[in-house]
Amino acid sequence: MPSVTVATLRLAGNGMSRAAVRGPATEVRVYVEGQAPDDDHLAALFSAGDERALAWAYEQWAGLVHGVAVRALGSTQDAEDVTQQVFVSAWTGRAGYRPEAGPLRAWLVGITRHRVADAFARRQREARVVAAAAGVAQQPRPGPADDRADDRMLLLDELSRIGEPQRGIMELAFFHDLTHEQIADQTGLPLGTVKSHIRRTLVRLRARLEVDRAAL
Amino acid sequence: MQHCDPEVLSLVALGEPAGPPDAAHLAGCPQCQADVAELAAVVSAVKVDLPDGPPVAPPSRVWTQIAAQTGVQAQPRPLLVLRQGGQGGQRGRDRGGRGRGRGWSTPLRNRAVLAVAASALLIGAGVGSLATRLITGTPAAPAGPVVAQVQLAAFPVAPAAGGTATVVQASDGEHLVVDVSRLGTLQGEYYEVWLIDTSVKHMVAVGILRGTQGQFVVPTGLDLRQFPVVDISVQEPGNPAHSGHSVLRGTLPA
Repeated sequence: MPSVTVATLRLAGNGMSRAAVRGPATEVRVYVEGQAPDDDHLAALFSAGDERALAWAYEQWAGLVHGVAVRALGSTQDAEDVTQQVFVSAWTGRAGYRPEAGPLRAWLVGITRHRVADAFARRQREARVVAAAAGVAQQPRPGPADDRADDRMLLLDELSRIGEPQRGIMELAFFHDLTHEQIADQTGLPLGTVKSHIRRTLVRLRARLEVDRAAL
Repeated sequence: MQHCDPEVLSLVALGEPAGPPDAAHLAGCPQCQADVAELAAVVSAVKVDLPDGPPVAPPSRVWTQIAAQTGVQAQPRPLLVLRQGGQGGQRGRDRGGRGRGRGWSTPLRNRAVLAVAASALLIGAGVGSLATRLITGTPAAPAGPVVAQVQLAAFPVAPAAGGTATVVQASDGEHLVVDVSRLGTLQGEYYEVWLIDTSVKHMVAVGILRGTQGQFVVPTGLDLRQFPVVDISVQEPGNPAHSGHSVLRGTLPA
């Protein structure tokens, strides 16, 4: 499979610009330019709830998000659902985005990780339901891949039962890769509080796995 | 020797480094290591590793859903993706292409396919000395394997404008099947397609859209590298010169 060379052309507002594509580009992406703001400005507008910022963010990064979703989930419907959920939850949760903490793109990627994890967990739940309905006995240790899938399913379920601010803290740690200091900055919580929440929540999540394994 | 602070161990499980005294203790303490390992197993089960790769444009229904759920009125502008050569040819072969052998993958062919696909920025039929044929009637399913499909880019004056153009491999050459129904139908006026040359001195009227859809045989002989700027205008009957009122425009790459 030949590698894809991508050239991006931006057409100026009156459409009269040209760009040379060097090399054997196999795909050319053409964007209609306009008054799309730069990243910092876009982040500020998004944070402030300017609707255009959601549309601009989608223009810029829907392809990125969807590409990730498609590679992770394979099926197009699941991937479309994830892409949709990422932008909807980014918009409805924009109060949680701090432009000074990082670029909007990175924040969207973190949300994408979370939605992809949710999709994996949902698939595993559905697989379990189908297996149970078919009367298939569930082996306690079917294999490493299923182990991980079951664990993720259980842990995300447990995470959904955890209140705030613990859940938000763990989301920042798991899906946005923030350190505990960055989490303290972002949430405004004291460092000691963040550390103690992290400890107690990880222990609780570990316990959920132990309980489930003991039950089998 | 005292064990590590449990909070430190949980940070290590998250992948954060421990300070020197804790790290030194941890290196030699099975109990602390076990604690870290169990918590790290929780972390790794939840975390998602995202594989790298090229962007993939989602279908437009995804934005429709986002707009419905958020109530946002603003619209993203459509993305135009032009494909050439190998990929288009690949699809042609996969769908039982017309036995052109390696035609699709030769460099000359690649250029032609790119130029033709890029002309989907607009819709073309010949003008003047160029032979063209307009296939009338509403195009139903494309006549052959799909070679390329693009969305037409919106021009600022008509932000909701856009459309699609599909290059189809048919028995008598490539066809362009075009639908710009989002441009809206005109009363009395009509849409016309132009090509503008690199020096922006010469303009060629390529053809007229019947309503907002059309299917054209791509003319051989029209060098889209010489006339790379494509334009759709709104014209009034009786005046064949370019009205100056363009609603779609784009540029073919060199």
